[in-house]
Amino acid sequence: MRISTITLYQSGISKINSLQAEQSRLQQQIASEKRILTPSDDPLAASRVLELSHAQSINSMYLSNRKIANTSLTGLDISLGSITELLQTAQVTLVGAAGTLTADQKNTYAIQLTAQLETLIGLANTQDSAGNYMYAGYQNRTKPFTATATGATYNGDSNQQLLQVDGQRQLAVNAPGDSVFQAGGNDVFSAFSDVITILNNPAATSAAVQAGVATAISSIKTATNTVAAVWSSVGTRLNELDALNDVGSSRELQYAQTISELQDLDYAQALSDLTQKQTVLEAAQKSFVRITGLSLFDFIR
Amino acid sequence: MATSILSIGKSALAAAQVGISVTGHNIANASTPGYSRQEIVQRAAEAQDYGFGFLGQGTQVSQVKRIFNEFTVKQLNNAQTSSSATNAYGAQMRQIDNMLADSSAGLSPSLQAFFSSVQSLSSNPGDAATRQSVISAAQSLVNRFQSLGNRLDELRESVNTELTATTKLVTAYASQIAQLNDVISKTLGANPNNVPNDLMDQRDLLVSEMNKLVKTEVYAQDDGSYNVFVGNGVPLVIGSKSFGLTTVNSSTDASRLEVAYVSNTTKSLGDSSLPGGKIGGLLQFRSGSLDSIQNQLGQIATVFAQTFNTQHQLGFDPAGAAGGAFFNVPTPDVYGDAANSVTASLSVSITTATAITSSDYRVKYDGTNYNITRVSDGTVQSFASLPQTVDGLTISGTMSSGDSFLVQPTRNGATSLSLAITDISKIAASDATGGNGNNRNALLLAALQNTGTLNNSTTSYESAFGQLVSAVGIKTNELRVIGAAEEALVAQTAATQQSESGVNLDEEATNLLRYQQAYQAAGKVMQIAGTLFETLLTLGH
Repeated sequence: MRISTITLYQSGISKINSLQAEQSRLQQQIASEKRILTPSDDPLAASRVLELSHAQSINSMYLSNRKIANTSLTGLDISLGSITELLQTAQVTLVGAAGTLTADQKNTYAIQLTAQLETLIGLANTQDSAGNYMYAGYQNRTKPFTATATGATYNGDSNQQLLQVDGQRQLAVNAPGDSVFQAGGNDVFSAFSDVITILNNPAATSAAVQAGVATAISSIKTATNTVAAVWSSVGTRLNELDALNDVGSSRELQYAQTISELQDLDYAQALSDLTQKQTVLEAAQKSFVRITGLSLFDFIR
Repeated sequence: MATSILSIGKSALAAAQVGISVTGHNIANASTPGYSRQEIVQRAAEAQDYGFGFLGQGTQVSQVKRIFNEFTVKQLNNAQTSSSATNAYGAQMRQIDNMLADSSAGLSPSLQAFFSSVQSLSSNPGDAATRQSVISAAQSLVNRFQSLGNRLDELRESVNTELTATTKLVTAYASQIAQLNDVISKTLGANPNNVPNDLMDQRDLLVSEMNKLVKTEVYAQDDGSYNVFVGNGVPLVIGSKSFGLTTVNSSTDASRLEVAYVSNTTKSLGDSSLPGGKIGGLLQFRSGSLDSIQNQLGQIATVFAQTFNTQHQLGFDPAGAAGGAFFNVPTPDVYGDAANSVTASLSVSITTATAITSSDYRVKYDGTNYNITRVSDGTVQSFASLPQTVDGLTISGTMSSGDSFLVQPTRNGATSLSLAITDISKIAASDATGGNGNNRNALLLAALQNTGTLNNSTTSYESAFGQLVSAVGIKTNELRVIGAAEEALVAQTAATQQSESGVNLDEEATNLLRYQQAYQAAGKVMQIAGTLFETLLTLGH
């Protein structure tokens, strides 16, 4: 077959061009560490990577929500611990006050209990690191409890602040004050306040005092149980967060692995391909020079 | 006798000279585009009857012939025109492919950042800094939508520019072909054996260049001229007369230039009547990919804005006021046909964003029915009156018989999306209960990210974008594969064509030697004739 001289040059050049293009592609892949440079390289894998990185970003969003939830719940956990301790101390105080008391003793107990009530109100008005009140429901910028002559009034609401901590899980991260301190009509502040009023009343009969102390003991016991229930639910939620974190991090690992499998470059393969392409390119260049260097005109003298 | 020998030698000498000159011409044009190698057709001169028999009278060159095979050239042109179309289509698609390739430039990161900020809002609804970050993330998401939309607009504009430039070039080629037709037919008319080879090469080259721009068919006429038709039979050259292509504004869509045929009048040609070549590729890219990509991106923007607004409006801001629109939702574009009656008007609004499609619509009134065609699949719905609701769009207006409108519900969705609020105290994170820590609406807003909203609440924003990316990838990949195959076919056909018509320098070197030897031999013949004559002259001494 005749081959025109132009064809000889063109086919040589186009082969060299395509080899160089393949080399530059490999070079780009190696530099970017990615197998897929544009979606068209592997459209299905590219859209899968997009989906997975979307899932990955949502997963990490939930992780950061869980961190926030963890901070809030840990604060709540510590605060509820202090409250429980205080209520137990108050019970011990009240048990001490259960017998027949002198006026001095009544006075001393009244002072002790008044101090405990003030501490309790202080604890019920605990703020988190952002300055939000922990026991105020949604009204977390308003001081939830103000002391009154008969205990304390609640200024918050009964709403639980929920956070999305996982795809299908919203977790309450606060404890509205009314459900902690005033649950089921048993107001712990009034319990304190009532017994303090009786102890401070010199006219109160010994029987009335004893009855008042007994009522207070029972009321504070109930309140302690309520707080304990809230405390344990907070503990359960903290445990759930840990569990969700475990699931989340194994999910993260799985996403990262799949994304890497889909788009990352097999270095060994790429480097060996590069070497191979170089060899072929060299051969193509050498043979091109050889072939085009042959001309009959060289032999015409 | 001796004079006859001398003239035989002379004829051989002349023929060898012509041979050397044609060989030289071949060598000179070895790399001239479109050149077909030439060779001489030599035959024995008419013999003379000397009584004892016919005596040859030397040689003569009857023709200088170009080696040209109409059939392989036609094959090459066919392969070339599809390859050019695929290349033009592919080059445009690669730009979109590259635009989406950069993971930091796509829509996903901005969308994710925006919803992250809404999640943060749910964990700290009263915090000013958190609220500010929602506004900032929303602004950067809007910017991203706009920049993606603008990039697609630029591509649309570049299609217009390229169509204009290309049609000008086609027109210029047509007029050059017509001029060559004129010269060639006159030359052949004077003497059918005097074939103007180089002019014919030039004309074939012009045809093949035109064919790269638009599919070109050639019909050779008896007088040697070419009649040239482009696309599906649009006559551009008839003998020595040429017509042209130009671009005109679409009668329905001002942003769109269409290719038109210029003869006595200018008439727009439909996209489908111009397959092949760069023009065909550009038109295919625009109607087959760009329109739907831009519509889909616009659909995501529109549905996103509308559904986010709907939820936002269910919430309450810190002051206890009901939430307003968070984004300005893009509105559908409506284009009336240039031939519409003066009273014709149509307005289209989005009623149910989740139900809208990424298709364009055509609304036509035939005097009895309003026919609403969904362009993407050709579905027609007929109504006796307006307003009507079709695919989440409410269409109302006044039309006379024959009026028609083009509706593009989402074409400019990405570019015209904007932020409606900049004041952080207008973010409605809470429900009606209120309270600084009330995050109920923020939670619901954040949940939109994973909710099916588009296409009748089946597809989330993110997966709609994923589908778009994968559709672009698949199309670009397909064009790359087809393009490579077509290029190989072009190379192969070109090699076949060249193997026949191309110049091989080694062959020419051989010819050169051959004619050189013939020339030397002819010289020898003349020398001998001279010696013979000398013998006669010396006889008298």
